[in-house]
Amino acid sequence: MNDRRLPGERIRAVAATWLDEPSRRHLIDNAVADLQYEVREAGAHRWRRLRVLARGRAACVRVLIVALVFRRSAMKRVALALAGCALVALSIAAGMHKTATHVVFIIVCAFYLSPFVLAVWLVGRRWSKEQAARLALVAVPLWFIAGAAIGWALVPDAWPGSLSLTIDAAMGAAIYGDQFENLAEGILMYPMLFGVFGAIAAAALSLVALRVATIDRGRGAEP
Amino acid sequence: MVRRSALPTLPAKQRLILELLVAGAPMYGLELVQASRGRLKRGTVYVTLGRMEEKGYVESEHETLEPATAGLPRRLYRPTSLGERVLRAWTVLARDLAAGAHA
Repeated sequence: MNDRRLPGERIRAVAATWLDEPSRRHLIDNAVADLQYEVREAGAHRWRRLRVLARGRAACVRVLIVALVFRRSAMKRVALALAGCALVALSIAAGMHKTATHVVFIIVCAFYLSPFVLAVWLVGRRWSKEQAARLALVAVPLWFIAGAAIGWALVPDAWPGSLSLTIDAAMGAAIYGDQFENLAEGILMYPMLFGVFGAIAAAALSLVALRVATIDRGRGAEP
Repeated sequence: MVRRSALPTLPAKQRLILELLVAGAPMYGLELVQASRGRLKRGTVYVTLGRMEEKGYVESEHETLEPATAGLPRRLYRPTSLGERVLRAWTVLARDLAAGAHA
């Protein structure tokens, strides 16, 4: 065992990239110390050693997952990673728009945005009310923009104008004519309605985050 | 006005750990899991112990390993006087509440 890597070292290496030092010392190192102790105790019994290794490694992975979810420093990174994944996936979904029907596109967008919802939930679990309120202030305009982008992607392909031209036409009947102005106003409803829908969704999620933050403070009060 | 966070709280798992530690000798995390007969899990016991240490209910020290032994030392946990007082207080409170419910 001396020349080989000790059991649990790989899990410690993974933890080093995601968790802060106190979390690693108090959670991961303890679980790995248990694993290494059990392996030492198993001695030369091959099957016992394998069983101990499997059980101990599974426990270490569970500790790592729990630490990632419940430790504030790790949660911020996980939440950021999830939000990043959601944005990348949403970009891919926007690319798919040309080849998918609208309903499929909306379902795909909702599916890809779900990591962002999870990120908000994770952050909301441990944030104070004030921090969750600040999150809401950022989330509402961001989700309005995200919703507006989805709405704009849903505009029928037959519409020839860019977004700036559409806004210009919606306000300039004298230049573009009444018929084109009415059409442009109708087209603008796509990003507007989806933007408002996104903002409402963000506000609702923020309220949930606020509620969860409040529940978390009261937890554990039962005798 | 009393702040809620200033009151010591004792969730069920923390109470179980304190009961085990107060009843017996200082224990390692794995020994606590084994002694709890399935009520504590290996995956979460150190999260609970970490919270209890932050609250001042338990204290810990590393075991002393033989010089030739490779690996990390385990952590030995024991209750603090605060932990013992909180456990006593919550036991009395739980008993009073139960008696009140049956009265």
